[in-house]
Amino acid sequence: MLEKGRISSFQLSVLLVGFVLGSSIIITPGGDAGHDAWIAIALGLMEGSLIALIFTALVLRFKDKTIIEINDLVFGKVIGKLISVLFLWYFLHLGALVLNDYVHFFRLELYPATPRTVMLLIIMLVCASTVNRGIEALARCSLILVPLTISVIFLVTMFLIPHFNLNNLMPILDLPIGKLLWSAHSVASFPFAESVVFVMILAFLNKSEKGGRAVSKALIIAGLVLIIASIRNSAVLGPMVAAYNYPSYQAVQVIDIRDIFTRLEILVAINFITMGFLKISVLLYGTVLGLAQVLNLQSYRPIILPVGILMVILALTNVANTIELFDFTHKIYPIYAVPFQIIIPLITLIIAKLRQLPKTDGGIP
Amino acid sequence: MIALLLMGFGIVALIQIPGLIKKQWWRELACFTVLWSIGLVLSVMLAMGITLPPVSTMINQYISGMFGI
Amino acid sequence: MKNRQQGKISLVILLSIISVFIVGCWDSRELSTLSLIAGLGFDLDPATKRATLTYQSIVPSQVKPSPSMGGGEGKQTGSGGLQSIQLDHDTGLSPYEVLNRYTQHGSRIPFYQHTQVIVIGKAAAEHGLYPFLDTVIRNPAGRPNILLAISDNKASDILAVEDGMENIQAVGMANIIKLSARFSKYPAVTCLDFTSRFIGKTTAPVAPIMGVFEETGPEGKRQKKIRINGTAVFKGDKMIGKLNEQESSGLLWVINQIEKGFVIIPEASLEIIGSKTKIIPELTGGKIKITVEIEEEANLIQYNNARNITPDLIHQLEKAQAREIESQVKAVIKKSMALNADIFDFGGAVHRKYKKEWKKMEPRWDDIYPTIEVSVKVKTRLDEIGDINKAIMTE
Repeated sequence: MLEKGRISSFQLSVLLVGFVLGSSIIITPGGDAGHDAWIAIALGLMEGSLIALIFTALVLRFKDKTIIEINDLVFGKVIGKLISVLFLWYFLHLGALVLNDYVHFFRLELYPATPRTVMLLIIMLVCASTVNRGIEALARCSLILVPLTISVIFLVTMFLIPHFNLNNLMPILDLPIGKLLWSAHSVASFPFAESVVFVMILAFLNKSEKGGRAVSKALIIAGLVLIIASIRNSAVLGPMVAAYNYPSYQAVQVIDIRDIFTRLEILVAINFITMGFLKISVLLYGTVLGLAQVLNLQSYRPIILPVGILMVILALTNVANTIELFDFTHKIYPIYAVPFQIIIPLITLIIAKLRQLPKTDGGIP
Repeated sequence: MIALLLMGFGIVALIQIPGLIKKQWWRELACFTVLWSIGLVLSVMLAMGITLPPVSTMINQYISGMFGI
Repeated sequence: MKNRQQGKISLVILLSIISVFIVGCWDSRELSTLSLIAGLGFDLDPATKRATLTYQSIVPSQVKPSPSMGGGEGKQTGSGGLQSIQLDHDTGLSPYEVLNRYTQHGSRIPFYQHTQVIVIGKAAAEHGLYPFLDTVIRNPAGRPNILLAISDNKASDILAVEDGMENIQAVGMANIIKLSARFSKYPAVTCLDFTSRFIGKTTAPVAPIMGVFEETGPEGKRQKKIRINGTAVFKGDKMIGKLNEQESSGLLWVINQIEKGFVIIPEASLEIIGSKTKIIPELTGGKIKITVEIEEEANLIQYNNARNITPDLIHQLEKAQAREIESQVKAVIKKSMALNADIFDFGGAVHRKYKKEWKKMEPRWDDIYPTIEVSVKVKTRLDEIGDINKAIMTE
């Protein structure tokens, strides 16, 4: 076993909430649904929960095995390794995309002159050192950071209540149904179903029978937070919500309570730093641990830094500019992610059921 | 720029390799070296101003073509 | 043991390397290198299409803790003495060309995070604001809640006036706008409000108009002062008309932005305590009818006749007050129909109620809007009569 740490189902929930909030804290998902974004998020939450049901059922069926070992068992050594590599690519690429979101946001709003490489290396160093300390350290980080973030979100939402104009949310369901469903699917694929990376982590639950409930609880909490944020943004920004790249950041700039509480948007940026850190760490952890398992290593620690460097390089070359990034995440990503999030786990689960795996006697250690 | 880069990669190697040799984890050492060299080559290319293919943009074009979006 | 020491040494090396990078030196901006723009003016010469930006910047070292009235006469640009603002102009074909040129003579980088108000010259507003507006909202340095005002002449004139209780004049201007909005005279319009109306296609943006007037000061000197004297009505990005004082109040009644303020009727003055407006559209046979329902509550603060206040009298005052409000509202509706500019967001109200029919109406809104039948219903309530309960002089 490469990972000796064990986490409780509560820790898993909190970590998953942080992971889902990740970059969606700043890029409110469902943005193309305009003021109906919250409906899209609610529908996306349902779809995402269904997807989560698939992969949790798969991993919890095999108790303390990660997806890499499960693939080996279900598909045999060769095809299993191939599918595992696909997953690893997805984790690596997703990590690079989150890094991209990071860099694009901070270079635009806060640090226009800082070279992107430096920014990427710094965040990657922090993530690598966390991953080096194992899953327990990561989970404990999330126990501090996630409640902090959620309370900050609630705080700024309270401050924004005087600026709410609920007329901005009407009429409900203004969009053609097809567009709304597409938007809902893109929400499902952007934050919620990305939790598929937890196929690498669910194995380390100390009580695996509680995993399913922990995952669904976490998704619902994160979904509620996102819905609140989305309603807040629409109510404050009105039709401009669809025009801004980072609506939360703009909405919080509106706060002005008697000239004392103003310029609070940095809180949104801090939220993004912490949640993005959790998301990147989880993805780096998944990639590194998975790669170590594919290569049959005795420890994943030696390859953390090289993989981190590769992730940074991928982030640097991933897209040429912001609009390509947005184009990719809005239009293509919901299609691109389907095999990794739904198809492969579903097929694996079906085959596992047909072959009646795992064998009850435990079998391969 | 490239000197700085080499220094960075050197530090990474210095941190990792001695421990691996001590524990005689040859397999780990090999994997580390391979990944490390890929990273080194790519970043030297980047530092020299060679544009690497933008992966997401390529995926974008491929899938757009496939679904006719 | 040795291993731990090695770890410590590498940790120290790591920390010292990191500390070089993470302090954010790349983006440090010292106060001494910045020109804090408090007010920004935008003018356009309609003949040559040349843009002029006027910067009113704060000189931090010379902002005094308390304002000295009349201390420095002629506190214009570069006149020395104690002055807390400094004006700079520049001219070019587009806002950014101007900015580019600014660097030829400015010694400090313009910093827009503390911009209080953006003043737009009348000519620029009539010619079309889009390029300037795009800069303001696209640039991450701009904030969504900067106030917008239209100058009734040139923006640079307004920014040059030294007036008011504040020692930074743009702050004073922002406060004038906010105060007039609090007392329900003219709307306070932020960039966000303006662009939200702009992006909504059918809704016409509005902004307060400021003007310069001259008056004789206490020592017989002529003094320039600024005040709000109307509301500009836009269609698209072009200013097409102006609401006067009465119509501006009427606008605030309709769009439910009445906070405080006074209703003056011939025999009494009433202070507004609270008000709520509902816009109720009704679609019958392809025709739109809109009912504006205003519910207002007021206190009596002045009664002109030396008579005791009786319940009957209160009733009369309530009715007179309702008539006054109605006349304000009717005036603004008439004006907006004449301008064919939907400043009340009636389109939005129709959209909210009839979202299917709206799709057909939206492109033809310009034809539909002037034909809308608007009825105004005002319900007023007079609650308190003040500290005295009988007239102190009898007729």
